[in-house]
Amino acid sequence: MTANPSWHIDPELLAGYVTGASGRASRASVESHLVTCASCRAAMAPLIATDRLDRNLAAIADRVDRPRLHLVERLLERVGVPEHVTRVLAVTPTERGAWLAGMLVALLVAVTADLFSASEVTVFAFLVAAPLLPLVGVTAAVTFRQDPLRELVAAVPTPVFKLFMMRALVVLAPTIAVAAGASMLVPGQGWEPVLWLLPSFGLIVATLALGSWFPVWAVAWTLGGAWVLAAAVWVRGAPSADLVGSYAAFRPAGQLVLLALSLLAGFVVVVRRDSFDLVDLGRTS
Amino acid sequence: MRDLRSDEVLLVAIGEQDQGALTALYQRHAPWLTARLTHRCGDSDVVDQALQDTFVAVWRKPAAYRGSGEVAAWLWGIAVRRLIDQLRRRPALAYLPAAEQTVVSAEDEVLVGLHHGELAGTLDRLSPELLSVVQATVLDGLSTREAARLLGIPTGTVKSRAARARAQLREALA
Amino acid sequence: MTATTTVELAEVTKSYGSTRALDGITVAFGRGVTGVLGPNGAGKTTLLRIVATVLAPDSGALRVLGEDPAEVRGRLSIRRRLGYFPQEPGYYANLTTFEFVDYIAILKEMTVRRARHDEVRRVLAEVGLGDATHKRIKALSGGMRRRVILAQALLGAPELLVLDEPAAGLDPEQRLRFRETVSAVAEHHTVLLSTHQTEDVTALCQRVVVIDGGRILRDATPEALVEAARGRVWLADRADPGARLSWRTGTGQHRLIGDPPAGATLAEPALEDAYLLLIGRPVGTEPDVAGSSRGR
Repeated sequence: MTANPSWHIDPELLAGYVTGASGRASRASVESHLVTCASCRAAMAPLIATDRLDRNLAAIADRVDRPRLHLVERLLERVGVPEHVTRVLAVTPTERGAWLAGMLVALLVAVTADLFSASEVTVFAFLVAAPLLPLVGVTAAVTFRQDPLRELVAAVPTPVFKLFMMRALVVLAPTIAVAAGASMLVPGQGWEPVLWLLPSFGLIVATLALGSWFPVWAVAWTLGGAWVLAAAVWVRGAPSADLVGSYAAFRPAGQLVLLALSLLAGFVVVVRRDSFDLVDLGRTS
Repeated sequence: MRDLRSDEVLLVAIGEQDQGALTALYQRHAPWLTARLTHRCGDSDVVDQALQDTFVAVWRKPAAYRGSGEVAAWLWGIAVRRLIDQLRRRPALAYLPAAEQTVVSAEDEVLVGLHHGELAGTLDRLSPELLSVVQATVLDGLSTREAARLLGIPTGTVKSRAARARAQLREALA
Repeated sequence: MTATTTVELAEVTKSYGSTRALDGITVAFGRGVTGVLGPNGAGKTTLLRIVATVLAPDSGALRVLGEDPAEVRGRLSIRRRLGYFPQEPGYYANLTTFEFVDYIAILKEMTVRRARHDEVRRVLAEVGLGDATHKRIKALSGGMRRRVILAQALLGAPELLVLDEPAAGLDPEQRLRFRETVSAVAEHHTVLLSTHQTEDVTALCQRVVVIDGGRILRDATPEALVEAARGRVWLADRADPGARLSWRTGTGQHRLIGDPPAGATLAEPALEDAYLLLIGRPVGTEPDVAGSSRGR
């Protein structure tokens, strides 16, 4: 508590202190008095330039207002990503936590099964299942259903497509990283563990492309289901020792075809990007 | 409208994200902190930066004030250390302004009302190196280690110079 | 489009399945505050969403701020000059008010940080949230949360403000504050405000459009609307089953709309009376218009 001293600094002395006219000892006295006396502190206020005080206060307010950046935001800014982009990436809701956790569990199960049985069948199953997880993640990212802000966001000038792509990125980056990490643990010769990457890319881009016409979730389920079905049907009757090699999608020619189809779908997505604007909202009332 | 809350209450409010409380604290303490910092470093940009850093630090961690002593003293502790941080990045600037006023009028001493008359002259007779140690440790409240870092001398030297300064002052006042 | 109108609708319709939410709306809005008054399910929200470019009409012509929202380029141009307060605003509860409004500001293409933060501070101060910039939204009261949404609508000083029941659920003091902010903005801009509270209309609107069952019933100034009810509002000591509408007021008397029973005294009409007269039924019941039921 500031006890109010009965003695206060003479105004002239105070002014002398501010301008630097007073000597060292009186300066020391003034300073030690100021620490304990609120009214003398208040008396100093008119002696400092108002615009200087205002300027510093504005700078303080600006720094205080700045949102605290997460570690990832700071890293991204270091790399050169503009601040407004990192902010959107950080704020945008993608339910990433729950999503990543679920995905990790699924992949761990797959990998553990692989490690223990290490049979060709489980490798094949992993390669077929792995593309589905990024697909689900990206599909969730490009709908507004779970976003409480969808009405507001629909009325801003930033194209919905741009927002969707940023959200997809936020989901995709860790998803692919985890899935890729899991691939390293999968036993298989040569390129086998990463044969799922191109199918994954293809499924995602195809879903986005068709999603510009049809409801995205329906497209995702259809394409994902078709992929699994195609894999199961194709390898019927093939020797279980070489399931992976039997499936055209995992052979070099098949992978190239997938790549070509993906690029075509990507082209369609870019051309059709404006149609994402009113797609999901038209149906909500 | 003037904020009537005490400094301690303002700090609590700052802990609850009350930006009005930070503004009130600033209005009370920025003037004297600015003046006192200016007496440690003449460069007004450096002082401005240190002042801003101080209040941003208060905003981020108002709970660092442990409740003992004056809030003003705590603020000065933050401010002087922020100033030193700024000075460290600008090796060309010194902690104390080079030219020091040494003329003290007798009237000043009477007006101040404290018995510093003899001390004034004695302080001025201390050599600059002893003076800077006294300024740093006694007047500004820095620790021995901080003073050593600031002045660029070993802690042992800080202690011995402080002892010599004390001895000289005692002798002069005896 | 004339020089004074900002929004023009011509025979605009919108259906949700078999429900006709808007049934051939033709109207034009200009500067100042226009109120859209109507009961729940009247089509107010559908109309405002279409004007805010958030919803596409099934048919009809639409021009907002000189552009056609059906084209992408036009839509983006409108949105750059638009502020929208949706009927059911959502929040990211974990953000502070500053962070939330800052996020919307980024989406409104304010990419320069310093200028953007100054603008965020400005709108927050304008709605009276200057001291709450660092409070998390989940810690705010309902009234303060609505002010956050109003703040984001004011970002960039938009030419057109579309507010869908912005003051719903606010207490009278907060409502007053809302009205002050809105009328300050309306001086040079177009404000479209939907409400089912007649006091908002009387206080704020230069013009009111009464809508029910997807159709415009009346489009006039509040005064003209009130005049139309003159001679049809009475006070009596007893309820009269023959009146079109009657209810017991706080003073113990009954207010009646319609033909006067014996012994009734003429009452000075209020906007609410005119509104009820137009709607022709007590608030809360469904309209008799064929083909529409619960559409909004």
